[in-house]
Amino acid sequence: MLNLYLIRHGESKWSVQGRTQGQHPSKENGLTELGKRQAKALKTKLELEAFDVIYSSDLPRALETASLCFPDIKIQQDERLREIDRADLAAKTHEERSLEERKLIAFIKENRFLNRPPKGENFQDVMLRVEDWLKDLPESAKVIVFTHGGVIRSALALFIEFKHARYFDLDNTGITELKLSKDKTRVLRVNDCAHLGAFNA
Amino acid sequence: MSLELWLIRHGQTTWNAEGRIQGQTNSQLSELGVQQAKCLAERLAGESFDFTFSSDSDRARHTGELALPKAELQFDERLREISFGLIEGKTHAELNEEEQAWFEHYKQDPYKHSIPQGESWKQHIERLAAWMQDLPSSGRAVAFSHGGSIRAVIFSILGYPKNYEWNMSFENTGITRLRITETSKLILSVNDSAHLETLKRG
Repeated sequence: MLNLYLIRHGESKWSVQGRTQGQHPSKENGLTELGKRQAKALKTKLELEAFDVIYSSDLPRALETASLCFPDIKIQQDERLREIDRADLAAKTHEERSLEERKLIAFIKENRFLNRPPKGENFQDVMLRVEDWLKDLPESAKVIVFTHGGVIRSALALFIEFKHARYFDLDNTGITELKLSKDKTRVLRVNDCAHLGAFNA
Repeated sequence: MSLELWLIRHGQTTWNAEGRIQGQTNSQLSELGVQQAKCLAERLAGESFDFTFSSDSDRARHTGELALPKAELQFDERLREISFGLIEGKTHAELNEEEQAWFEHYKQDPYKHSIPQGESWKQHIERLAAWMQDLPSSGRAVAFSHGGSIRAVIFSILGYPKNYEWNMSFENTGITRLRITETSKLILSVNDSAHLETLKRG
C-alpha cells in the first residue's frame, strides 16, 4: 500500500503580484514571508510523521517549501511534478498582457482539459505526466510530494472522474492524502490546512 | 456573494463500532464518538457561523450539541443518511439470504436500486440537492450530517463515478468545506480531521 501526501507550495511572490506562474523557472518567484511561515507551520504538523521518500517539483516555490519542511533530508527533484506549463503566458500580470494573450486565456478557460497555449500544456497533459510519475513510485511506502495546485487537481482527476478542472480550490501548504493499492485508490483528505489556523484567515 | 458551507460527519456511534448498517435508524454516540465531538468543539471554538443546521438523527444532533454547545441547531430531515430500509440495524454477517440478495441488487447499481423501503442514490442526492437549494446565498453555515450525505453532495458537484466506487473517506467528525456562489460550487477541503490527531495517537 502506497500512502501519498501531496502538498501545495507556500504562498509565492508572483501569486501575490497576480503573475501567471506555470513552469517559469525564475528565482525571483520564491516564497513570500507568509509563504515561509506557512511552510514552517506545515513542518511542525509533519514532525510526528515518518516518510520513506521526499519528492519535490524542481520549481523554486515548491523546492523552497520542501527544504523548509525537511532541511536535513535528501529531496528527490522531478520535473514531472512541475505546475502546468503556461509557456509564453507565464511571468505576466493581466495588465501586462496583449489582447491576443487575453483571448488565449479565455479560450483555455473554456475547456481546461483540452485547450492549451502554443508550446504549453492542457490539464490532460499534466494528468499523463503525473500518471507516469506515479508508476515509478514503490508499491509500498509513505511518500510526501511538494508540488502545485494543478498537479494535485490532476492527481485527483486520475482517481475521481470529474468534468471540470477547477472544482477544487487548494490552499498554500494544504495537505491532500491518498492511499493507493493495486486495485483501489482512496482519497483520505483533500486540502487539510488546519495547521494554518489563524493566519490563513 | 458566497456561502461557505462546512459539512461535518457525526462522531462514532455504537453501531459504527459494531459494523451495523445504520441509515436512518438511531444509534447513540460511543464513548469515542463523544471524545471526537469534543475535539471537534475545540476545533470549532475559533469559528463563527451564521447558520447551524443538523440532520434530525440522534447521532448528528448529539455531535452538533457537543461541538457547538451555544448554537441553536436547525434540524432538517433532508440531511439524514441514505435509508437502507429493511436491513437497518443489522451487520453484514447477520443478513439472511433474502437480505443479502437485496444488498447485492442494490450494489449492482446503487444509483437506481434501493433496499426495500430504502432509498437509491438518486433519491438520496435529490433530497440533498433540494436542501442545498434552500440554503442562504451568503455567510457561513455548518451542517452536522452523515458520511453518505456528504459524499452525495461532493458527487453532485464532481459527477458520479461510473463504477460507483466510494473512494473518498469521510471519517467521524471529519470536516468538508464548500464555497457556493450563484454560478459555482467549489470544494475547499474534504475530510479534514486534523482535530483528531491527538486522539488517534492515543
